[in-house]
Amino acid sequence: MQHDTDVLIVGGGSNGTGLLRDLAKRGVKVMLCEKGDFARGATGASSGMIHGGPRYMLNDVETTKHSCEDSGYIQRIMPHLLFRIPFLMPLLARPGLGKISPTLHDVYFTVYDRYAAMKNGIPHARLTTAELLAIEPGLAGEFDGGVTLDEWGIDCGRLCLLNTLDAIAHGAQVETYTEVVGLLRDDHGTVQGARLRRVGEVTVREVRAKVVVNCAGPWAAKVAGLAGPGVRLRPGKGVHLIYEKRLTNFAMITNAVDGRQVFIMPYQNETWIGTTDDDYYGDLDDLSVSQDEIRYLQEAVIRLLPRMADQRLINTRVGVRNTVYGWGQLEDELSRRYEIVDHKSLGAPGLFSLLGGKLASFRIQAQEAADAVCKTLGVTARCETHLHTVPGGDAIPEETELARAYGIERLAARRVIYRHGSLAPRVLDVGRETPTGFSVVCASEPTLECEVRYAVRHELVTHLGDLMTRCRIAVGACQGLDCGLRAAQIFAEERGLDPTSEREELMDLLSRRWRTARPALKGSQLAQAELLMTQYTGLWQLPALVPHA
Amino acid sequence: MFDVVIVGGGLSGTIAALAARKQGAKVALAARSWGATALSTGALDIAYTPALSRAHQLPRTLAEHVLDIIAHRRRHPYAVLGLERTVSGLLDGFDLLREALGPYDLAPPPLNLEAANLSLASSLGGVLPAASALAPHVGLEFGVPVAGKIGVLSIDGLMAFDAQRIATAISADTKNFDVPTPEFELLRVALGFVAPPLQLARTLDDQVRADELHAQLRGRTQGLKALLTPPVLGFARAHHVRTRLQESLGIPVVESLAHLPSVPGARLQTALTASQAQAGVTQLGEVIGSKASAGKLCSLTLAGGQEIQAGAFVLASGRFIAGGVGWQAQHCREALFDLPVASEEGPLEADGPDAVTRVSPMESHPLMTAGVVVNPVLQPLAEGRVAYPNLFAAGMVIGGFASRYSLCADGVALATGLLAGRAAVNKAGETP
Amino acid sequence: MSSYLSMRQLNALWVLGWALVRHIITYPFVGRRVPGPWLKRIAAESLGAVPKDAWGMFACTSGCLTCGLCDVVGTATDRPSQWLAGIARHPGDSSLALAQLQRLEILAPEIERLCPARLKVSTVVALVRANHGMLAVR
Repeated sequence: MQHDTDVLIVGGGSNGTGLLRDLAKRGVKVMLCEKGDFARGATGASSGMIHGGPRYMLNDVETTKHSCEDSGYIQRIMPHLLFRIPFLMPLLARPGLGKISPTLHDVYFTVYDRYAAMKNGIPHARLTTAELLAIEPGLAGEFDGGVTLDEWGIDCGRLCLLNTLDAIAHGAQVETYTEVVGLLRDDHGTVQGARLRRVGEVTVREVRAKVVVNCAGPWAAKVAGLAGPGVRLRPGKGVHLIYEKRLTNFAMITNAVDGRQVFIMPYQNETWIGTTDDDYYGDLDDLSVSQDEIRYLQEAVIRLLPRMADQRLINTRVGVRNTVYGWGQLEDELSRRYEIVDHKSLGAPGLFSLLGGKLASFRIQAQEAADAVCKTLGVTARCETHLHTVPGGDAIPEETELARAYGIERLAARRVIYRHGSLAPRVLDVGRETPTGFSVVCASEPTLECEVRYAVRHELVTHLGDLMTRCRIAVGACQGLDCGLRAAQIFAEERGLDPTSEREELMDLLSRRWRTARPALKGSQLAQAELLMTQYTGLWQLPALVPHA
Repeated sequence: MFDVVIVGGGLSGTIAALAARKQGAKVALAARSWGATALSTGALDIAYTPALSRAHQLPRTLAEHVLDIIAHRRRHPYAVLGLERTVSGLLDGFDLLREALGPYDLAPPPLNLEAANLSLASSLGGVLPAASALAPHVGLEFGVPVAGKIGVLSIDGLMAFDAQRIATAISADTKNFDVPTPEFELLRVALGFVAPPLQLARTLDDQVRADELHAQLRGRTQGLKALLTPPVLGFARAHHVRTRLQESLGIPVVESLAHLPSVPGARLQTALTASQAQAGVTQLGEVIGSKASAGKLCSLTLAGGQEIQAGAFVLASGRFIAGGVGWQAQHCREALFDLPVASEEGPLEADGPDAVTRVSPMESHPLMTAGVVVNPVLQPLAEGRVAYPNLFAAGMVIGGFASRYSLCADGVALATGLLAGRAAVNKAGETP
Repeated sequence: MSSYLSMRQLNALWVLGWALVRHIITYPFVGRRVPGPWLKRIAAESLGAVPKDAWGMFACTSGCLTCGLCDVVGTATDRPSQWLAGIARHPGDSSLALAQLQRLEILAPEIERLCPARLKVSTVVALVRANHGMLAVR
């Protein structure tokens, strides 16, 4: 039978794109389809950390060991994309226990240090209360000292993109804005491919594949359901709050009113507070953040850092974890374990589902899934994703030199290097094409005009909104006030769009931004929103012309 | 001791102050920052409801749009004022504005409520309806067939104004409405530097730089009926820069409406602030509190601690941008007197912004129409009762409207500013 | 299944238990792992503690709406909106503004008079100047 591809992957998150890269590097003919843009599901709403899972060490040392080891690999293959996040963990004073808690924590992290070394961790330190407050005087409360540790953060959208670009360089095919609407099956129930439909179109086309791998994250149950029942998830909704600016260089851990751990952490040039974890039974495509959730997180952090009350909340982040189903456990206790389900046992051979897991172990999850798929296909090539860098990962240019060479601000150079690594000069070369090539499009980053142009040309951009994950357009406090407009013009220029389409793309970008920003419209953000509406009134007045004749 | 003190120095506050001065009152105006007026596009919006236009083939007059608003939006300031007061407020307010802006060569042409909205070029691309506009933006409108070729100028180094896209967008809009598409010719000049709009405009204030612009355009505008330019032709010397260009090219030079950062907005606010001083209005700084006694407002406290007494007060402190209305912990309130606010749908009682905004940003959000509630003589109400008999409100601090859907912000500012100013003078003149 | 789980837990307890014992025995000789080296490492990566004044600075610049109106003050070559954007982003990014700090200080009163977000520019300038040493560390 003629196959269009060997493997069809459904879902463009960390699992799907990780698997795409793994299989492509093994020489397998592979295609990925994603119903939106990359990282629109759990990946795009995650905490953005490639951590070693110190929490799991209490019950399961092996998981932590493997996580740290794999974290090390991820650092090796995309060094420019990871940024260290130092943690302060203040220990709340507990009457009676005195010194026991700090000692236990000290021991715990001494053990963790061993594994963290595999991911370039700095050995922890134990702090007295005086030292703790010297480092962060803004802390409020009674403490019995604290401990320090460090983890790594990553840009989730760029992670998926870089996996994908590498895969394409190895011959993979990718289609975003393409949804799976059905599976192709023969009389025996064997899955032989899928029916795909591009978003906004009506025609359905068939793609014949030897194996289909379901990496649809929170939607995995739905996709698996196309081949019959059997896959069950326990979706867990998670919310983060996004504050403007990097308010602190340290992440801090504290407890919320119900005892759950809540953290505040710097993330690129924002500050995040997170996260919640609640069973979610609603519409996966229509998530919203409630005032209760906002208050829950804010109260927890303000109790630890009262000054947070004066800071500017700009947005929220919400998604659903594709947690593997487990009954009778608190959401938090469910391990972030993953499962590779071969649907042969469920009457649908040819279909695999990669369920659960976490961002930090995307590579190893993909490796195991690829191993399983290759076994079915009879491919013997081994995994190499931990051995070779992704595009741009082979060298990190020096920022002052780069800034000088192109005449740009040092900070702008830093951000281009962060996102593109060794390819930064190529991105900046684009800036020489126009007089405004090095002008700042988005002040929050800053993002330069040439980076936007480069993204539109080379980074699989279909819609303007995709630029949010490529180069953080409209992600900052400004909500797309100036950058949205300018990015829309660049996009339209590069793609030859007519003005109506350009306006539609811009409205789509602003809608996307609005959805998560709505619950956070207090204080400065309300003024910002009014300004935004003023700016774009013209767009909303379509059709606008008043004919007289 | 003053007769009237105005809080807020934008369009409505300035008109209120000028109206009070016209009646011979001793007037002070306390402004703490720029606000929405400084961020406006150059257009003057009185009334335009898209639904009304779409429902009929013929264009509707401004008066008909005002009537439509009064009929369908009962919390809109025009509806609260009633037709007669709205019309007299608009006409007199507009006259005052023309008078104030005259010396700065920004004055719009006289207002005719029997005329229809204009269709002006926007630098966003395409066309925007507007009742009128400041002088630099008047002279080229696309709701009528345009005879001859229109030049569209872009300046290298000025981001976000692309002549090609603007021409294409206007053509698309005219096509949609069966108006013959104008002929465009695209012109480009290179001034040798990259600058944001405000800085570019100020650079052109310099004679030498403006001459460079002339030099690059000379001889290239033969056969053109008019030249449409980005709204950056000068700031402090805007009139001079533009009219000199007009004279030397021999054709009208018209600026498009602006998007942010807005040079026309900054020009307007600068001119309004100057006109206050010109009219003998005492200019003060930020107000941080107030004192009342026997149910009447006696004085306002400035940031420096001084108390300013007056017989009557006008609150023209703006909405969210300028901070006249804000959402702090749990409630959305007016900031200075803690007055309750309402939207165009009614009292704003909500736990969070998501309850009073819609899912799609394109829809009308109650939150965006929030502001104080006033009675027909523009006295703010609290729990249905007049807050203070000698306090009046004007402009965007009044709720019940959002310019987005009825393009009326300037009309409301002018009408309520004028009427509140006069009412304050009358109130101050009453024997206590 | 349950015995599988408890094998992992037992292993964890074993590892942690041993570490506790080791800790108790060696602590009198080795002492506490003090924060000095840790702080030094992260400071070398430009992740040091943000000075406590910075919180005050954040509150001052936090409301910036990026409206661009502050470009009205000063001369046509001044770029206050961009300098403030740099400081507002992250105090450590004040390097651009540091070069222009004097100019910004002169323009501060005028900017404060018109800024819709009421940024306290003078305070920001004072804070940047006071923390210049720590902030400019790279």
